[in-house]
Amino acid sequence: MSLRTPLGTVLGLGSAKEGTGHFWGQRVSGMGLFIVGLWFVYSILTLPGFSHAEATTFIGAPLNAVMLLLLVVTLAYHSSLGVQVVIEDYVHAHGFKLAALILSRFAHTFLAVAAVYAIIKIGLSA
Amino acid sequence: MSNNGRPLSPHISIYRWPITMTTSILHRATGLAMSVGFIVLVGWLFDAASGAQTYAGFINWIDSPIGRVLLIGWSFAFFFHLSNGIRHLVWDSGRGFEKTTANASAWFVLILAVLLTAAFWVIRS
Repeated sequence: MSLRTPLGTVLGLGSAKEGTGHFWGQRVSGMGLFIVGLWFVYSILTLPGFSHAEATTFIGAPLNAVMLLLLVVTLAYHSSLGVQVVIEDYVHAHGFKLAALILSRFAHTFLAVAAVYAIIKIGLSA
Repeated sequence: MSNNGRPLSPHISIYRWPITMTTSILHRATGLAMSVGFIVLVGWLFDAASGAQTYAGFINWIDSPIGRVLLIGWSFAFFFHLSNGIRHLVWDSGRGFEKTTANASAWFVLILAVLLTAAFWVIRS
């Protein structure tokens, strides 16, 4: 016998009304990174070389650029969620924790935006 | 703390380190390591967009002994986190929690990650 109300069962949010969002975000972005990550490893293995010309030719090719955009955005999201949990687990002083969480979000956002800009810049100038 | 001669519960000094603990800690450590590695990946893209001269500086740094050790570390982190991540997804489905299964899958992902890392560098070199 379940003590949960029918409405609570349907909504499936638990007593905290949130938290599954983080759980699902981490899992689904992880699945995405499995695909894009393996593509990236394959690309690195088949890249002729790492000179500036070879690198920009690779990054600027349309399909590669799209895959790289997916990689950096998904990676930034997945990493942001992961670092958030680590901070919540180990930083106990409230002020430091809040500062670290905000700093992590800013850093991840900056990295994602910088990478997206770089990929598009290379793609459009190729 | 008074004990009154009553038995103490088992503690760290008599705790046999389980392999599942190693994989658990490694999953978090490799994740954090790749968060740092993400900065270098973005640096590669950004320096490539900045021009040949800036890019040469990046390659010069990553091609150093320290850079190479870091790259090997990040490649292992990738393969381990990927393998163990799938193990976590299997657990999320409610399967694989039996002690023997969890121990076996821990060794499996550890060895798989080492083999994949070795294979990656053999193919790349």
